[in-house]
Amino acid sequence: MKRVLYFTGYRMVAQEWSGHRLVSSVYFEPDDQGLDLFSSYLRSFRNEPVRMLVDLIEEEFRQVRVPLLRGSDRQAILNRNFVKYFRTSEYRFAISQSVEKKNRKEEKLLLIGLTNQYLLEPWLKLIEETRTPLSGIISLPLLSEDYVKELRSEHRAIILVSQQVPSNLRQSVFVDGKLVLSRLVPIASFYQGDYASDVLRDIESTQRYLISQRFVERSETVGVHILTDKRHFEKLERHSDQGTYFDFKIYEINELLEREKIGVPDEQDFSSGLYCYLATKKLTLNHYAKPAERRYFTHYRTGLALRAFSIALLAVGFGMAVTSGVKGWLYQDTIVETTLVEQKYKAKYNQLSENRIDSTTSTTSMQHIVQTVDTIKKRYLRDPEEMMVLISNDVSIFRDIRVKKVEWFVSNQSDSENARDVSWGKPRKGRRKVDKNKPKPKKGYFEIANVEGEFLNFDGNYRYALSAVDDLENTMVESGKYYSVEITKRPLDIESDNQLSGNVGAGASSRQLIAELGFRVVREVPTK
Amino acid sequence: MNRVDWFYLRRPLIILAVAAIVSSAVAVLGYEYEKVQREDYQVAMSTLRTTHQLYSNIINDIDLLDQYRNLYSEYKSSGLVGEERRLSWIESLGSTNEVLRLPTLTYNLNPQEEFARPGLKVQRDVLVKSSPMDLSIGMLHEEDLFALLEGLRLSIQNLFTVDQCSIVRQSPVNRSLETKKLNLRSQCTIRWVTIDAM
Repeated sequence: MKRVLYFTGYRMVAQEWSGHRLVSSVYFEPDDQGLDLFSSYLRSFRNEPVRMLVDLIEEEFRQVRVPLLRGSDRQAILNRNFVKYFRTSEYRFAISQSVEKKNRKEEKLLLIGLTNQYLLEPWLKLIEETRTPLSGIISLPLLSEDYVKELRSEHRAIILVSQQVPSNLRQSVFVDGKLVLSRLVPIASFYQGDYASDVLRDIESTQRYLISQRFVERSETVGVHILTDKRHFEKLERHSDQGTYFDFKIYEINELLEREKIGVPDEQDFSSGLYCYLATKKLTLNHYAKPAERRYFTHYRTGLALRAFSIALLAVGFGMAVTSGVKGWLYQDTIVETTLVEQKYKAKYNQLSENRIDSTTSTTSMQHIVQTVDTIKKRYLRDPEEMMVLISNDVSIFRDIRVKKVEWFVSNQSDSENARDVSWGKPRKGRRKVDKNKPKPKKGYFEIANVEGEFLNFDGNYRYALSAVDDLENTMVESGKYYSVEITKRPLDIESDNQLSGNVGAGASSRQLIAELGFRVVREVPTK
Repeated sequence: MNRVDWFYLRRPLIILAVAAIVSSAVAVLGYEYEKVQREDYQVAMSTLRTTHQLYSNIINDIDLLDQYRNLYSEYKSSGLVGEERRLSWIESLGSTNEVLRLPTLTYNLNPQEEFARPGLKVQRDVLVKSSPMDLSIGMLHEEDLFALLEGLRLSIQNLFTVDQCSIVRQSPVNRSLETKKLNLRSQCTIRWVTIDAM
C-alpha cells in the first residue's frame, strides 16, 4: 500500500493506492478538527512512509543559465540563485535541463520554489510529531514532465492543461519535453459560466507570455493537451477548432484513467487521481523536503535495512545450523554403519580367539624363535671337517710332508692367533701389532687352522725342503680358497733378521735330521 | 543535524539483536551437535580401526601359527627350545661312542653363557644361550672325530657348533699308524645352543 498526501494549498487529501487502484481518499480541512483527524490518521499507519504531492499557486519557476560547474562551486551558484529568486522560502529545488556550449559551457537549470512555505508548516509539523516517514515533497508540475513524454506530441512546445480543484486551472509549459514554467490560475466557471472560453482565453494568455519570453516563435504552433471532465469535453472540443496557432488534444479524464488502467472508485471530475498515481509510481522522489523532514524516512529505510540484515543473519544462522545438522546426521548415520561393521569384526575376532590354540608363547615369539633356529642352522653351525679336507687336499700334493698337529678354531677376527685369543662378546682390548707382510686384520666370521708338519725321511736337503714349503704356500694362495695363508715355520730360518746356527761337522751326519714346517690358513665364513 | 531517534528504531534494533542471538544460538547449537557427532564418529572410527587391527593381527597370527607352530613344537619337544637338557647331551655322547668305541672320550660341560656370533641379530623376545663342552678324545684315526660329531648330530636334534678342535699325532711321522693303539689325541670345544622366549 502506497500513501500519497495531496496538498492543494488549502485542504490535504490522503490517498491510499494499491498498485493501479485507488483504495481510499480522506480529506482533511486546515482547521483544528481537520488537523486532529490528520494526526490520528497518520498515527494509524505509523512507520509506513508517505509522500506529499503539492499543487500550489505559490510555486514559482525560473529558468536560468549558469556556468557548468561541479561540487561546491555549483552549489554556491545555486545558493546565490535561490537567494535571488526565492529569498523567503526554504523549499526550493534545481533541476538540470541541458548543457549548452557557446563561448563557454553553460548549464540550463530550472529553479523551482514555494513562495509561501507557511502553508505546509502545520501539516509537516504533524508529520514530524507522529514520526511519519516522509519520503519527499513532490512538485506536481515537475512530476507531470514524465507524463508529457507519453502524450507523444509532434510539437516542440506543449501546454498541458489540467484541473485538480474546481477553483484553479493548471497550465504547465514544456519545451523539448522540459518544463519551463507552470501557472495555476483561478477559474470561477467550472460549475457555472462559459468554462471553455475561459480556458482558451487563459491558454492564449499563456501563449502570449511564451512569445514575449521567447520560449516560442510567434508563428510556432503549440501543442495543447487538455485534461478535462466529461461535462466540459464537448464544449472544449468545439471551441478548440477555432484556434490557428494551437494544436489541441483534449482528453476526457476518466477515459484517460481507464486507458492507463488506473482504478478509481467514482467518476472523476479532476486530474488529481492521475497525478497521485504518477507520484506512487516513483520509488523515491523528492523536490522540496529538507533532510530534517525526511529524517524518519531515513530511519524507516534504516529499519528496513536492519530487518533485512536480521533476516540475513537468521538465514545465515539457520543455514549454518542446517549444514551442521546435516553433517551431524551424516556422521550419526556413519557411526551406526561403523558400529555394525565393528561388531562384525569383533564377533569374528572373538570366534577366532576362542578357536585359537592357547599358548603361553605368542605367535610372534614362535616365529622369531623358528627364524633364529633357521639362521643359526644355516650360518653358524661349524665343524673342522670341511677345512681339514681342504688342507689335506693341498698338503697331499707334497708326498713327503706329514701333518703332526692341527689346531682349528672359529673366530670373529682374521688375526686371532689361537682359540684362547677369541672373544665373542666384546671387542678385543688393545691393538695387536700389525705386521705389514701379513694380510690386513678383518672383522667377520672366520675358520682358522694352525698346522704343524714335518718332512718324511728328510736327508738334509734344506734347499729342497724350503722350496717345497714355498710351493705349498703358493699352491694354497693360488687355490683362492683361503682369506690368508701364512708360513709360520720353515725347515731352516734363513731370514737376514734372524740368527741361524747349526752343526755341519763330520759327526753330524750320523744324527737324524728333522725338517719341520708350520703354516696358518684363514677362511672366511659367509654369514649373510 | 539529523538526530537519530533510537526510540523509533527500537523495534528493528530489537529484532536485529534477537536475530543475532537466535542466529548465533542456532549456529552454535548446530556446530555443537556436529562437533559431538564428529567426535562420536572419530571414536567409532578409532574403535573400528582398533578392532580391525585386532582382527588383522589375529588373522596374521593364525597364518603365522600354522606356519611356525609345528616347527616350534618340534624344537620344544627336542629341547632345542626351552631349558637346556644336559643329561640328554651326555646320553647322546655316550650312545654315539657305543657305536664308535673310541679309546678315550672325556667331557667337561661349562656353565651356560650368551651365544654371540658376528652378524647374528636376535629379536628382543628371543634369548639365545650356549653351553661350551670340552671334549678330550683319543682316536685311532682322524676320521673318528668327524664320525663322533656326525653321530652326535644324528643322535639328538639339539644344535651344537664346534668352536675349536686340535688334533695331535701321538707317534713320529715316519712311523705308521697302529690299528690297536691310540694314534691321535684331539681336544675340542663344542657349544650346545639353546633358544628360549624371553
